Amino acid sequence: MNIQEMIKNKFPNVIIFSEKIETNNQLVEILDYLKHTPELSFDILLSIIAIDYSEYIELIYPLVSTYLNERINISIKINSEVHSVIGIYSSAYFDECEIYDLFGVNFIGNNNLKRLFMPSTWIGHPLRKNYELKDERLSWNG
Amino acid sequence: MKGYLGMDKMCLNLGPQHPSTHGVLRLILELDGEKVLSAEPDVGYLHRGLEKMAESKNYIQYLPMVDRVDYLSGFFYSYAFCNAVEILNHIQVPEYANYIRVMLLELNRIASHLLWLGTYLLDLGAISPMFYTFREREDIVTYFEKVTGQRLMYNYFTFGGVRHTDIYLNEVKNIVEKIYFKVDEYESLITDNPIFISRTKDIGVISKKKALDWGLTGPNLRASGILQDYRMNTPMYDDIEYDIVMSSEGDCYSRYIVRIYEIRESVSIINQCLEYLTTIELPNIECSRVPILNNPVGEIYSFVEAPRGLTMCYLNSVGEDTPYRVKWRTGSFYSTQILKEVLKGVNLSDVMAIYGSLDVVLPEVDR
Repeated sequence: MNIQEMIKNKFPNVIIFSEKIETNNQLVEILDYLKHTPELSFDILLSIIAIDYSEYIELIYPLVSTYLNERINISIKINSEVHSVIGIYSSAYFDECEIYDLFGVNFIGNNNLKRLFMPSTWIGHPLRKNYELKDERLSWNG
Repeated sequence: MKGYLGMDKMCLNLGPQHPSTHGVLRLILELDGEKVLSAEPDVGYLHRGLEKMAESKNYIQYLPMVDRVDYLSGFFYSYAFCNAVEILNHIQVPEYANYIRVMLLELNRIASHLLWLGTYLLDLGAISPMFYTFREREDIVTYFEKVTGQRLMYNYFTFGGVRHTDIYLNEVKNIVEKIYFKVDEYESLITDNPIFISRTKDIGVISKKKALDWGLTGPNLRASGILQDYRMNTPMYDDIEYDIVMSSEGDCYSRYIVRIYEIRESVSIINQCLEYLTTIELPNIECSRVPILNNPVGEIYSFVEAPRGLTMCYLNSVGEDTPYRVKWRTGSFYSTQILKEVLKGVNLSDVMAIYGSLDVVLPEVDR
């Protein structure tokens, strides 16, 4: 049985695309299942990719299994909030801070969210498509 | 707030202008005497917005920019981006160009590892290895300058191949012959050196589980005893034989051993490329034309095994002439993050030994 079928059996609500598997609310459960099932053991979370499609933000979680030498992408569409996965993959902490900083997404359960790249006084989230360049509220643009 | 020995705990700011941080990393250390209680890496001093820039530049305009993600291994990032665009537009890369790419990537890997070796030993207080490694690195960088016109930011790979085929194979042959023997020289200086061993052995041990959990890749992960090398999944490397170097201890010393042996493996890969490139007749291209890019709608994940870990270029196209979103996943980002975990409970004098061994380059973290 291949990986996509296994996930489909366990979580019937997922939508399977060729490159990614989309879920609407079971993100934490799916990642937990993928990491802790011995025959899958997707043990590395490569990154978290955020894409701003104006109506919604899509988050993609690319995972790598060193045991199977396989890769899989889990995606979720959100408005501005999603559950944090630092309980499953510790490496997600910096990624979540980065997305919080550049996209303004709030990760529920990650209590130490901070602006990773921009100064803490920065206004706005630069990678959002509606981000205003030359914002006059920032003193150096005024 | 009293610590051990009844002394006050101290908060120490290491960096951002510390000479051993190889860039601008700020570490906020909480100290009890000389023991580190907690460490908090603070990054972002080199944030240039490379991902935002991609959204306003077209593909060809963005190409010179990607070398700047990491100035020590520019070829890898250029390759990752070119590869993503090639997959998106279904462009076939000719075989000779693939071999030239592999040869230059591996030369770049050697140059990057040599610079790491010199500066790491410098961090530990040994001055002379720096001059030895920079001597050999200079040959490689001079060769790159001759071929690409630049010493660090090459902009030589292009969509569908390489810019020109004027690549002076004889010089490569001389360089790798020399390096193969010089690696033995470094090893005779460093590997059995009792001071080096006592500074690095059993220091900064990262267990298998911890390494995976914190997303380490590349030589750092292989030093913890996990077989993970994306070259195995890269079609470009299919006809090339090489060994994957692994070590099981996960301490600073094994990270050194892995990198030293990787230099030897790279030399063997370059020799195989040279063998191929000297037998065929290279087409005489003075300036390659970029193929027409249609940029269909699609999401592309392009991977390359860079010297500092697995690098991913995520490219999202919605059919316009600029990318909709580009995301860089770099190895150093995760090597910096793990400091939070590894530095807990170590001596202050070991902080730089551990940090140096992870081979972090800060522009890659901040992008």
